[in-house]
Amino acid sequence: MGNPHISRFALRRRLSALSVAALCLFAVDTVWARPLEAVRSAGALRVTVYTNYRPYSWIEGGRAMGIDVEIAEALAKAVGVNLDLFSLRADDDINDDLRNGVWRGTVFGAAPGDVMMHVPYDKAIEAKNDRVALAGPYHVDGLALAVDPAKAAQALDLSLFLTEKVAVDVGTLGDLIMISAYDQKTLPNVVHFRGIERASQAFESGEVVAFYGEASAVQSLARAGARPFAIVYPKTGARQEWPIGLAVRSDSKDLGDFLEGEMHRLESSGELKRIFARYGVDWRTPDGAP
Amino acid sequence: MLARIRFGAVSIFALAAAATFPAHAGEVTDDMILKDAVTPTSVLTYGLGTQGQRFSPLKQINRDTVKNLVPAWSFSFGGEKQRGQESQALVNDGVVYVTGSYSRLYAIDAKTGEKLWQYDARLPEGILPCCDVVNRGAALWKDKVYFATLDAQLVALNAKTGKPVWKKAIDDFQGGYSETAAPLVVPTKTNGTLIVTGVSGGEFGVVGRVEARSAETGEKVWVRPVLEGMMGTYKGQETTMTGKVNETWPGDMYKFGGGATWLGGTFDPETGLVYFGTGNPAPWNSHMRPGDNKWTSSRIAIDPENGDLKWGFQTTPHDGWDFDGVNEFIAFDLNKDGKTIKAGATADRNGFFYVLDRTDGKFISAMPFVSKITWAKGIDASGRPIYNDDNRPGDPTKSADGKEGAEVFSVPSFLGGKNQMPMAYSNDTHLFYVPSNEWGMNIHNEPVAYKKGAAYLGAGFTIHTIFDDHIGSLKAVDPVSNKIVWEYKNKAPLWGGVLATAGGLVFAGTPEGYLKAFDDKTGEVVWQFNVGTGIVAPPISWEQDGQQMIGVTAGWGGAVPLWGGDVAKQVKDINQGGSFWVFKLPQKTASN
Repeated sequence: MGNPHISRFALRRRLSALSVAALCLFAVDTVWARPLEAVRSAGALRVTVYTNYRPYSWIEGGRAMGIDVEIAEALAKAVGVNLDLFSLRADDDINDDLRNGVWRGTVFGAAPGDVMMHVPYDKAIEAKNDRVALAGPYHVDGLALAVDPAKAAQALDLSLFLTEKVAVDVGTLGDLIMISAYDQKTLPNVVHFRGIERASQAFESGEVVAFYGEASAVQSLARAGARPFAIVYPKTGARQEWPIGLAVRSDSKDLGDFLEGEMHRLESSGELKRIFARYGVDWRTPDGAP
Repeated sequence: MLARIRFGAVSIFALAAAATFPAHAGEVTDDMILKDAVTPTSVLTYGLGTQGQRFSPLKQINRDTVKNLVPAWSFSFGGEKQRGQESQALVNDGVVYVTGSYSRLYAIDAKTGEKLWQYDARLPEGILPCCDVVNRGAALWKDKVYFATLDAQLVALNAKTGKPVWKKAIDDFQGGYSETAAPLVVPTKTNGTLIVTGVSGGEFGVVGRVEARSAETGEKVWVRPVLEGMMGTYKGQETTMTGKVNETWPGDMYKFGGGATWLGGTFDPETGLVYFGTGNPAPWNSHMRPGDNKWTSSRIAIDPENGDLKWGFQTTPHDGWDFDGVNEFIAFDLNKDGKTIKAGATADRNGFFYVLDRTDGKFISAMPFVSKITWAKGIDASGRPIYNDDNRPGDPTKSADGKEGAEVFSVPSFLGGKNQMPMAYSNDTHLFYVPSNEWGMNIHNEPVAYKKGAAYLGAGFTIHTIFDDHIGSLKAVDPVSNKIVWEYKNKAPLWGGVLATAGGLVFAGTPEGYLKAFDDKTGEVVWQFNVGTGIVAPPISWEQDGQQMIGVTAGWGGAVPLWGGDVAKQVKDINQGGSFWVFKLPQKTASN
C-alpha cells in the first residue's frame, strides 16, 4: 500500500521516455503484438487517471491519492514493474478522454497510458472508439444524495427541493436531474458549485439540506464530514448506475486480459473492497452489471 | 577599439535625441494605432485598424498587375509541433510580428524573411485548450509586443529583443480558461492606453468577461462580466451590474452561464466604444435555462474609460444550437436614404448578417448570408429571430429512458454560417466580403454519454454538407440593399479571413492551400498561389520600401478537422504546416 510520492513521478516519466526510445530498437511487430511484454521490458506501466477527481485520483500534499491510484499501484505490482501515473484533465466527453489518455496522447505531446482507469464499462464506447478495448470492470457507480436525516423521506422523490436547497456540481448529470425535477420548479433551490467538494462544504456549513452527485463521491465526502446525514438514492427516471473499468488500446488486448485477471484476484481476495472502504465508499461488484 | 568608442558616441547621441521626442524611433504611439487603417507602411492592429475593416489603401497590386505577383520570401515556424495557424501578422518599422500554434511569437525582417527572434511560451503540463492550439495574433504599443497564451496568460515582450517585460494571468488554466485572440490596444483619457482582452475556454469552465489592463504595467483597470446579474469592477472596486439578476436567467445559473468572449474585440474611436461578441450560453441544453440568457450570443459595447456596458444586442436569444455570438463587429458608415449612419456590421454564426447603429445598438437590418437556414424563419423588425420551434434540439432529460429521441437537422451547423475567420469591408465598393460556410448538423439526444468517468445526458452533433460541390462560400454583401452581389464557391470550408484593397482586389486563403485574389466587383479569381498547406488565417498588406507586400500565415488546422464530422473526413488528407508567406510584384513590373 502506501502512496507514491509526487517526486517519484518525474523520475518515472523520464524512465518511461527512455524506454520508449529503447522500444524503437526492437522490431515493430514483436513489440506491438505483445504489449504486455513491452510493458515488462519497459519496466513501467503507464496508467492514466483523471486529474482532481475525488475519491478516485487527486494530489494532496504532493502525493497522488485515491482509489484509482491504489488500484493502479496494485496492477503495476502484479505486472512486476513500476507505476508511471499520467494525470489527465477531463475533456468534453469520454471519446476525447480515450483519445488523449489511451490511444494518441495529448496535442501537447504527453504519451498516452498503457491503460486508463475509470472508463465506464459500456460496449457502446468500444463501438464508437475502435482504437480502444474495455477490460476489467471493478465497480458500479451511480447517483446518490446525502441529506439531513430528518428530511430523508421527502428527498426520495425530490419533492423536498420544492422548498429546500440542494447543492450540486455544475454541469453534471446530478445537476441536470435536479434542475429539471417537477417541470423545473426545483430550479430556484438548486445551488451550483464547481466541484462536488464545494457542494459538500455547503451541506456541511448548513447552507443547503442536501448535496447530490456521483454515489462514491457523495458517500466519501459525507462520511468525512461532521454533519449527520442519510444517503438516499432518489428515483428519477434517469440512468441510475454504470459500471466502471479499464481501457487499453485495441491492439493491447493481452495486457487488458492480464489486468482483468488481476482485477478478479483483487476482488476475490477482498482487497478491492478494502481499497474502496479506505475512502469511505461502498464497493459494489460489477458482476451481473449491464 | 577606436570603432567601439565611436559606436558608443553614436548611441549616446541617439538616446539624447530620443529623450526629446515622446516616443523612440520605431515605437508605436496612440496616434499611430488610431491611424493604422490609413497608414500603408505598417499593420499595427488585428483588423488593419481598430475598427477591423481589413481594408488596405494600397493599389500597386491591382486588377491589372496582380497576375505578376510572386513570392518574396517564406518563413518556417519550425519545431515539431504544427497544427492550426490562424494568426494575422503585424508589421512595424521593418519587422513582421506573427504568432504560431502552441503560443509562439516570431519577429522577422520584413524585407528578407530573416528571423530576428522567437519567443516560445513555456506551457504547463495538463493544459487542455478546447478547439486546437491556435493563436490569432499579437498587439503592438510603444516598445512592446503583446500576445495571449494557451494557458491564459497575457505576455508583454520587448519588441526589439523578444525578452519578457511582464506577464499577467488572465485566469487559471486549471479552471478551463485559455486565450487565443489578439489583444486590443485602446487609448483612453482616464487611464492612458489600455490593453483589452476577453477569455476563452470550454463550456462549463468559463464565464465570459472583457477586461482592460494598463498597457504599460499590465495592472488591471476594469472588468466587465457579460452575464446579467454579475458585477463589474473598476480598479478592484465593484461598479455597476450587467443587467439585472434573474431577468433573463433562472436561479443561480447566470453565475455559470457561459458567454465566453473568445474572439477578441474592435474599437471605434468615433463613438469611443469597444465592441465584443459573446459565446453561447451554458449548459448547452436550452431547456434547462428558460429566458433569453443575456448577454450570451450577443454583441456588446463597453465604454473603455470605466468598463460600463453601453448597449447589447442579442443575435440568438435563448440559444439552443451552439451559435456563439463572438464574430467581429465592424464599424462603417452606412449611406442610406441620403443619410450617413454610424453603423456596424456583423455576420453571425446563426447565418444572418446584421447591421446595427453602433452608437446605441439599435437594429437596422438583417439578411441571411447562407442558404437554407432552418432554425429561424427570419429576423423581425426589432431584430429578434422568428424561431422555428420544431427545429430546437429536444430536452435530453425527457428521453432519459435510454432512447435517442427525435433527430433534428439544423442549418447552419454549430460551426456556423461564419466562424472565427474575419470578413473585410471595402471603402471603395462599400461591400462586405464574408467568408462563409454552407453546412448543417444532425442533432440528437444522447442518453448514454459519459463525462469524466460518469454518465450524463449529452447531445450528438454531426456536421453534414448541404451542396455536393462546395461548403466554403465567399460572398460580397451589400449592407445597403441587403443583397449578395457575388459568390465564390470553394469545395472545402473557408476558415481563413479576408483582406480587401484599394487595388480592387479581395484576398482570401483556402484549406486546399491557395491564396487567391478576387476582383472585388465580380468575384472572378484573378490570381492564386498554393502555399503547400491549408490557409486558416487572414492576409495582410503593407508597403515595404515603396513596394506593396501581401502576407499570410499558412498551416492547416483549427476546429474543422477536430469537429467537422463528414467534413473532417473530406479534409483529412490536407497536410499540416507552419509558415508565413510574403508576396510582391517583381521590381520591373512594380515600376511600370
